[in-house]
Amino acid sequence: MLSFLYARQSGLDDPVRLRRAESTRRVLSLELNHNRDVDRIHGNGINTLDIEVIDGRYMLSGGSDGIIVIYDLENNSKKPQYTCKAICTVGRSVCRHVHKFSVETVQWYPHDTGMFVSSSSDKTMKVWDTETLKPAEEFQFDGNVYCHHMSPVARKHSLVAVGTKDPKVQLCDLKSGSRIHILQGHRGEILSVRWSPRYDHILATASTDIRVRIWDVRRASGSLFTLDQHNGDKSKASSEAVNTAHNGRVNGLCFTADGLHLLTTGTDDRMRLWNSGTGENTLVNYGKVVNESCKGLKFTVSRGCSPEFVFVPCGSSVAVYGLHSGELITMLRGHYNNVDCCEFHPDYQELYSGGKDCNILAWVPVLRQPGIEDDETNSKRGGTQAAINPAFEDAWSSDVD
Amino acid sequence: MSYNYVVTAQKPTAVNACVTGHFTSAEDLNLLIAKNTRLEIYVVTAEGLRPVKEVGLYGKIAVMELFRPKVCVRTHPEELSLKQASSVRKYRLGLTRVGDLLLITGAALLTRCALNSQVIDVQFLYGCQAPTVCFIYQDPQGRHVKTYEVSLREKEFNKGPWKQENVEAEASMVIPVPEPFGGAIIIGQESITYHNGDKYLAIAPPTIKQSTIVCHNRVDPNGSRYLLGDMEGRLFMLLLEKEELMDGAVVLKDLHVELLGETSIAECLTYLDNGVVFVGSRLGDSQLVKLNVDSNDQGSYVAVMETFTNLGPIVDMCVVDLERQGQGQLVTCSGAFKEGSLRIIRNGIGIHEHASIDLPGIKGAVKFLGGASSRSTASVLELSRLVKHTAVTTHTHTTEPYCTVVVFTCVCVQITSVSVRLVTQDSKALVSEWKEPQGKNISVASCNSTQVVLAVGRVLYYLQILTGELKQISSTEMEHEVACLDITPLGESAGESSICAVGLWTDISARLLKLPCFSPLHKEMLGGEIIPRSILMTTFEGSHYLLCALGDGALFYFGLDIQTGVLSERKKVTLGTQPTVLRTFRSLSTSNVFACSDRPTVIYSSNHKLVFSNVNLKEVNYMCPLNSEGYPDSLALANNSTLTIGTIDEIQKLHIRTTVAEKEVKGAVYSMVEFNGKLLASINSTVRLYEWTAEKELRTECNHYNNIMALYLKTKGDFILVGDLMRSVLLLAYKPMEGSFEEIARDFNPNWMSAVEILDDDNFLGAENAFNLFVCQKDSAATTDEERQHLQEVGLFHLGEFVNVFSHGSLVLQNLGESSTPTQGSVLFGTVNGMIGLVTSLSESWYSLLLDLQNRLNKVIKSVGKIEHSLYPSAAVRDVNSHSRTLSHTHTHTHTLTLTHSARKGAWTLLVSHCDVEAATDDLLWRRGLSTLLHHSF
Repeated sequence: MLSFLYARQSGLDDPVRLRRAESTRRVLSLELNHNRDVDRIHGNGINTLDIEVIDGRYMLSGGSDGIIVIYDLENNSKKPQYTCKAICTVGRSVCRHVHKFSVETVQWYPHDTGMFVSSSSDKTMKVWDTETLKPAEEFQFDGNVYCHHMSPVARKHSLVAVGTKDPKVQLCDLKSGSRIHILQGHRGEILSVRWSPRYDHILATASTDIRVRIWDVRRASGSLFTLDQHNGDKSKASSEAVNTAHNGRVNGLCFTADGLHLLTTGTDDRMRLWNSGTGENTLVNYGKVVNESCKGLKFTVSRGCSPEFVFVPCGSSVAVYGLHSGELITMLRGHYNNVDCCEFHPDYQELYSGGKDCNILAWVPVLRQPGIEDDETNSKRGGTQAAINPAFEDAWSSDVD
Repeated sequence: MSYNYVVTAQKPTAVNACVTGHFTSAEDLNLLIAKNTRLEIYVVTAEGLRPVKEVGLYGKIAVMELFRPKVCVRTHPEELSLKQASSVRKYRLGLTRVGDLLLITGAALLTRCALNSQVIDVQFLYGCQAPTVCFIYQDPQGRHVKTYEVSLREKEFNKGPWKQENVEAEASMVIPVPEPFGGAIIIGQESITYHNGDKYLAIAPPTIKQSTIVCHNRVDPNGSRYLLGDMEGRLFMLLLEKEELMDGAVVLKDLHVELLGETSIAECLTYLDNGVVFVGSRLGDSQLVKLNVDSNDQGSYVAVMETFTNLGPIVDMCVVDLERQGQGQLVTCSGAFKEGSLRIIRNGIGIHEHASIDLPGIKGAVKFLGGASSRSTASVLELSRLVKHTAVTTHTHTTEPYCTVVVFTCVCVQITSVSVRLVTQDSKALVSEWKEPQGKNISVASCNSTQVVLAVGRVLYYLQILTGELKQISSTEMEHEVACLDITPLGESAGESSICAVGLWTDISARLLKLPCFSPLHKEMLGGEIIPRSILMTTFEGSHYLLCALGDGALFYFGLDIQTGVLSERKKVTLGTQPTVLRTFRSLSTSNVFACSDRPTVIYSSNHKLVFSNVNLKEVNYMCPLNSEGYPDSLALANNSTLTIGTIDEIQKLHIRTTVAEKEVKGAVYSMVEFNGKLLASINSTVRLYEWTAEKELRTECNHYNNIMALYLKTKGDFILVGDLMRSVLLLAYKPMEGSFEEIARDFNPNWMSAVEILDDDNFLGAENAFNLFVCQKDSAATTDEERQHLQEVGLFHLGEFVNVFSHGSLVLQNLGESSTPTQGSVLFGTVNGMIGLVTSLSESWYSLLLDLQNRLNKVIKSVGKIEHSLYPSAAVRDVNSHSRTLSHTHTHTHTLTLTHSARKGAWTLLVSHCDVEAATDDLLWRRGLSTLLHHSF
């Protein structure tokens, strides 16, 4: 650390290097931490989490019980130990607009915390006003809504891509409040949709038809291309498996922060990394990524680290992989039941995960303890031992299981 | 709400890049130096480097390459620099690397190619049919060299003519070799290799292993010699030995590396001409060095010709007032590695010493007036002879040499303590002499080219200098003894003064008398008990002033009406501690006053406001202006033992003195400060207060743990400001009764801090990783606990420089009695690139006025490369989550200060025309204040 600080101070290194190095170190030291709790509100499994990017302060969660909760992640306790408070709940008792069935996806409006969007198995997608906690808009669909996504970069359009039981991907316009477009091509349920963080018109969709399609929504015709796990090598695939991304339902999509790559997960227990510009399978081998989810899987990537990491729910733990190396770095164990979603906080390199055990767990980097030299100095001088930091008393052996 | 003003005191001095070539014209050999956001253009002449122009850019210069027919500078908002853009331009094609993305540009973007691997360096190759790039890249197996051909038709990259896998693990640079050799040289940590597809040649000279080679420059156009510089500041020459084959082809036979010698740690090298090399340095002073054919005694072929001061990287600094005169001096920890030094910086006027003579016992200085012939022929030798001569003649009179000699068309007036003598210059013949009737000693005298006024005790005599005669016109007796007097002619009186200024003993007064009748015009009681020692009438910018210096170094100054002799606007400043002598001189056709004392000061006027500027000299007893062939526009300065001749700087600037020191830091204690007589330290995530006990032990009194890594500490009273590695700033209060810390408020923005400072009780200044300054405010009046806990970010300013340290203090002389500066407080900052700047608070009205001015200036000033000013600050994104926060409540003003005169005028006109409708009366007011502010920026 000192060498990084010195290099930054003397201008030998770009200041970003220290930041990347420290971010990476912190991600590698993620642990379940006694200092951090998240209020337990949900009475059933947690399907989805989202942290807003404006202040990095508020987190949404959506559960199988149909409830949506907003948490305040900020530490106002003036102490290292704190609990992320649920500041409001869209629950059955307080709100008649609440989703009737399981909330599958929640997402903050990317440019303003005054609005968020939720979609549910009750065949609706609702656009909520954060102030009043009342829906400003409601979209009805014919089947269960599995997923929706708003572009994090789009300024010119405010389209929500929606994936439902229907093979057609729906595009809803928040400005007009209407469904303005459908994207046809898939032959199965749409389990995941994601906009590119690089181009506001590029959309990726994943379906139970084991295919992933990349769309340019400006074009009226079909998709730009379909991801092919064999990179066009026909000899490796049976005829019906041509242009497939996985050998099982594709239920998770995630672009890397720069938008140059796309990760997909499938029920074939594989995760694949694709070049999002060419559709080429980079053939990074992550090994077996256990995937039992029959619905969408919400996984995420780190941001601002070097190298970057993937956090993917894997049974009752969250697996951390090197994004480009494919190496399994660690398994974050703590949930009592399957994990369905996880969300990375890029400002502080923290990870929040939600699972069927109704818990949201916060994974927080280990702090550096006061230097050894410091303690030596104390003992040498015969001074009273420094008061022990209560935060360090537990010695971080804090995994719940 | 607090408004702050950010201004540059010292521009960045660290050199990032340099190139040589014909830029300003086909004949001029130019050196172009990039200093972060600035570009300096020099012409290389036989005498050395001559500056041509300096331009500021709204961006950081990452890479600079010459591009025929003109130079191309790649500037970019931070976004690119984070990804280490680099560009090379040859073939009239541009090659830009942004991370692992290569962009080929002609007039527009031709093609791009993601290399999907970590690119170390990339260059175009010479002598290929199609444009070919050669690059080093890294993959998990190691580093490799690959070439790609750029197909201009298909606009894509095709496989190149050759590649080399598994080059040295630390290979870092590609040097393309021109024809006849072609190919490329790969520089690694331990080896230098040459590749061109057919031939592979590697050498591993032991000398280069010691350190890492960081820069290179081609010496000859044919590519047979290259300069290499390493991290230890050693300069090497790489020689390519050629061999002619039977078929006439020239191929490379061998590579040689020779150590030339030691320079500053080079960031960039460029060969100028005739064996002269510019060594640009980021970690130490840049140098102009000469490469000699023969080595010197130490075996070095390098001789330093010139050194260019670099303050960067300023790792730490503090403001000290060594002379306790209210003027701060800044001590900086500058440089890194072997270039580490402590530098002392102060503000003032510089005297460049041209000659000095040791002349013990100098009691006065000689003043030349009038006669064009005498001015043109006077040389320092004559001067010194004259001084000696005076000494000799006065010696014959066995009196103290009280001498004011006036050279006036070959006649000089010599005043000694016994008489006034008119002497011809050539023959030294005495023409006329005046003595006090009772033979009493003359105590003080003043004369100009036609008049002499002298005092004998309380009696004043007025003499006129006529041709060949001194004629007493009148005399009068004052109430008290005369301490000093002056008859400098002012206004249009053409060499004759109608007023005499007199300073008296006993009642400590300054009086103005009418000449020749000595009738009193005005009497000003100075108060106190210190007698006036020097009085002077002078004109600055058309306004007349009377200056009166006391024996304790204090100076009174007044506005003077030369018709009525009435004094007005009395003001007082302290210049030194010793009796002060005032002398006028002209520099660049404006009049200035030199105050000789233990702290010599130059007094001049700027926008009808007197400015007192220190001179970089120790002590001056006497001074007189000198303008001769040998020493044009010079000053002769004398103290007890030495006569020095020098010229004065045109502009006020910072003077930098270098002392030697080293700096060593160990351990995980990131910051330590004295706090209420105790020791406050930050150790990783903990802020800890130590008490020094009676048993002489350091005892921990209390801790605060709620940080990620507490890197910086600042204190004020019981308050502590903590700068965290990545969690912005936190304000703690120390509770002495409980012996504990309390968290007061925190800024919840994820700022990666680089320096913090407490502006006042409510405002806190921070500098962060993305080269921004921000101001946070405590909201004491907030109603809820939560609001009180939040430090609100009220200002953000994109500086474009990495700030390492803040320090309260100012380099300008304080308490000068000038209250017209509309700013409060002053915090200096030092950056990695050696920039020193100032942050000061100002009122809302000033803020909006200056913001208006800035916006108008931005309309007038055409930026280099057409990068909009508005783009520059808004480009301050944090690379991860790209929040771009709006620039508010802090105004950017740095750039306006570097305007050319005409551009500034343009903006004035704009602004004035805007203002005149509503605030014609206020106009003058703000103009005055504005000029003060602009002036304030040094």
